Amino acid sequence: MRVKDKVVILIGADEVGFSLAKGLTKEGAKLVIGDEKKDKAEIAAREVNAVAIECDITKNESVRQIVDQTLEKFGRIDALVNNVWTNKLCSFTEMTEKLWDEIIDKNLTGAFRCARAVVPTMKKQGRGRIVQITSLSGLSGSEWGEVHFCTSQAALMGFIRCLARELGGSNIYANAISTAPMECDSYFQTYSRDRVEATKVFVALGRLCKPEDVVEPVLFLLSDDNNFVTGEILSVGGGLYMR
Amino acid sequence: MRFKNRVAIVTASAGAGIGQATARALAREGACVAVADSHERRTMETAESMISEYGEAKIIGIKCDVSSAADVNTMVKKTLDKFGRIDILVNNAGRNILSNVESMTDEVWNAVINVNLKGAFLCAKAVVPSMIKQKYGRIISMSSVEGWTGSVFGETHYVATKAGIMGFTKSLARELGPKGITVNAIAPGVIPNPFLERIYGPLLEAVPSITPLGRGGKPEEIANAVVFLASDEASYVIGETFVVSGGLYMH
Repeated sequence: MRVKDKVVILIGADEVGFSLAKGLTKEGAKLVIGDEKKDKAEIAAREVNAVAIECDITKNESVRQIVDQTLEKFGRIDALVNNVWTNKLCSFTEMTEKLWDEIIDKNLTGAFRCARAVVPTMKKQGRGRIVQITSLSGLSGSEWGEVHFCTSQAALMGFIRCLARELGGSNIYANAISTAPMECDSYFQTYSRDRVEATKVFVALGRLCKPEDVVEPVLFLLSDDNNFVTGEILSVGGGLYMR
Repeated sequence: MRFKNRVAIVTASAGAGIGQATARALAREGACVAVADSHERRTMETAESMISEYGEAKIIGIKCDVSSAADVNTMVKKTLDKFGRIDILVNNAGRNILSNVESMTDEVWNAVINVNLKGAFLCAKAVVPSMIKQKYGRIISMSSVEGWTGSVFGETHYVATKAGIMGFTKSLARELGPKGITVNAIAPGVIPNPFLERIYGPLLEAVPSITPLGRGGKPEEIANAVVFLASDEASYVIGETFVVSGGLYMH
């Protein structure tokens, strides 16, 4: 039980979030699942015996609420896992300021809102773990019409490194996972199945990333097995992009 | 004269730092330069001083807040009206307001994101149609080694934007490379100037001891890197974040 009795807030109940929820509760976590679609959070929560809370990370009040309700119920917050992402493909020449703002606000500023909301509690506790799920496209770039998305993912990596440096003295660890294209519907809906499948040839392991592939690396980063890893962008990319 | 008949826009180029040094380095190599800056008086003074050196036909001063799409579009229109083309964009505009993450307000976060990230987006978007038409363009954005190293001074927003610029650069490079446009970034180390001194104060004193070259960099040393990336000598360099840090950070 690697995260036994650790209170974890997990936001973003897509397929990856669902897998993480299963892994975290199996290892003993007291889990709060947030999603902007309440039914998605509820479906996941029911499956794994967690608390579901509607949470839209583009709104401070909503972020405040998930933090307050977690504290009310469990009295502490040991970890935050932010798995929220949005993307709408659009060639650069067609990309409007509005679309740019929308993607940056949810993916990047949303992560900031969540971190800002949990850090005071983690500081008080003298312990905390933050894990951000990002995409390898932040490191590799992409020609699929996602300059806004790739920018947000690269920015998240910088944000996490800076959090790690700023908060290390308070015993708060901040790390990110960066994944290869995923074998799951939310990816296929965003990018089209053919396109995602075609990236396989560039992956050393010859297949797409499965939501389950993300679980163990996140568990490690959150667990006490991780003594000294912070500020790291851990690639779960099957060798797609090697830094 | 590496930039004869080339036209460059350099944002935030009326201060004492990298921007002005870059505008002057490009002009020295023959480029027509739009000196764009959010500070109106300094913009005009810098432009006038450069006009006296390079002539009225080669220099224009334009007041521009890069976080405003209207300002950016005016900047590009004025540049095109005067020079007829745009070959080089240097996204140099940057803001920083120190604040620890837990006490950082939405206003402070957004102010930094909007200048450093959205500003680069708006400027690139405004110049790209001309560059596509010309089948030639150079976009160079200022990142920072802090995008990799982070910082303890309360700048999660700034570091996020500087890392974001690296991703922006790579993605834009993949989209625009086939159209003859190269996109690169520069990650300077510490380049002391009044802007940095105001923000970091005495923290800058440690720089020589942690930099293998034993000193902070000069704005001109970053300008030289911009000149290289903007020149034809860098014709096969794309999607790169070029570190110019005196060894402060080795990537």
